Amino acid sequence: MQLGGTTTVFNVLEAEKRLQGGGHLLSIMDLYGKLPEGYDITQGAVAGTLELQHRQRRQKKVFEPKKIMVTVVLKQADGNTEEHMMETMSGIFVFEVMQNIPGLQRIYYKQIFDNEGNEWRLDERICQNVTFVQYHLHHEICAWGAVGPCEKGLGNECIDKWAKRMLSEMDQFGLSTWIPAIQCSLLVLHTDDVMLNHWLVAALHGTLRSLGLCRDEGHWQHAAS
Amino acid sequence: MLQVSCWDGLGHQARQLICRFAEAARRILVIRTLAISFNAEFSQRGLHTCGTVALMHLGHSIGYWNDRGLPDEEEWHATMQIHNAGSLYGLGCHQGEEALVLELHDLLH
Repeated sequence: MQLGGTTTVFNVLEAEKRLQGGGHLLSIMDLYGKLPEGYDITQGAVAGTLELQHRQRRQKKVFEPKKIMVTVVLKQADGNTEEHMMETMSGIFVFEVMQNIPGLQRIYYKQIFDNEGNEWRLDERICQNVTFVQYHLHHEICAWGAVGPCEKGLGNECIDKWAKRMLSEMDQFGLSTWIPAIQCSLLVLHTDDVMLNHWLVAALHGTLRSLGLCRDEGHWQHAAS
Repeated sequence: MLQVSCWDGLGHQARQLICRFAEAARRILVIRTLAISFNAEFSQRGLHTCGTVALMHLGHSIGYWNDRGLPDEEEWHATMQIHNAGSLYGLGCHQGEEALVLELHDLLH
């Protein structure tokens, strides 16, 4: 699975639900059981490996594929509009439609609306005829301008990498359990008993270590227990 | 007894947060006694080097510097900047400026 940044259990289950088209009960587990929805899976499981479990619902809605017509209305810079129509099978994702339109590939959108005023997500399946009339660029990646090499604090991934390297060089991996810095920061700010219990059990006979960011001050500290 | 050690080079401004977190851990483990210590082996000198100082403290607590020379705070920070990545950053004194940039970004879009 390729992740595009911080991803919680909720995000994965939501994506899997859309991919499967409904009809399944889904959960993500590790060695100690089901993980809560807020758990960040970017750093892997607390213990063991992550496992995605599917159970088919008893009353699963039967999905019947059929041919549908999808229309995308493009507005040109001069104010004119251009319609792209495609006949496709029901169940196609919105992003798949966008990728097939010349000039719209490889661009991310938000606030996609059809001609009836309904908002669509890029990862929604289309099951009937639809005409998309409005969409906005999704500005997620922004340039921040030139910053001097030392005028920036350390990022969580950098901290994890160096901390693990130090623990490894000191043969501490059997004795210390490292909480990824992003998860420690979240735990300190919003204490989640289930997640904290997971980590405490993982480090029951050793030391639990991490660096946490106090977000109000934007300040890293080291803690061990 | 549950022992929690916190290391900070800037005077432990987040004591209450750490205490609350440690108390939650004590309650979950059903342990009667909780000992929290606030330590500082190194004082932070740079504006954005809290992560570096925290890693220096990690090194101190596991004896990493016993056989190695202690790095200079600014020099080590500059070395780590080469592959600096993540979605959470220690912002130090630039926090106000970044908040301003974010506000401008929102206005422009």
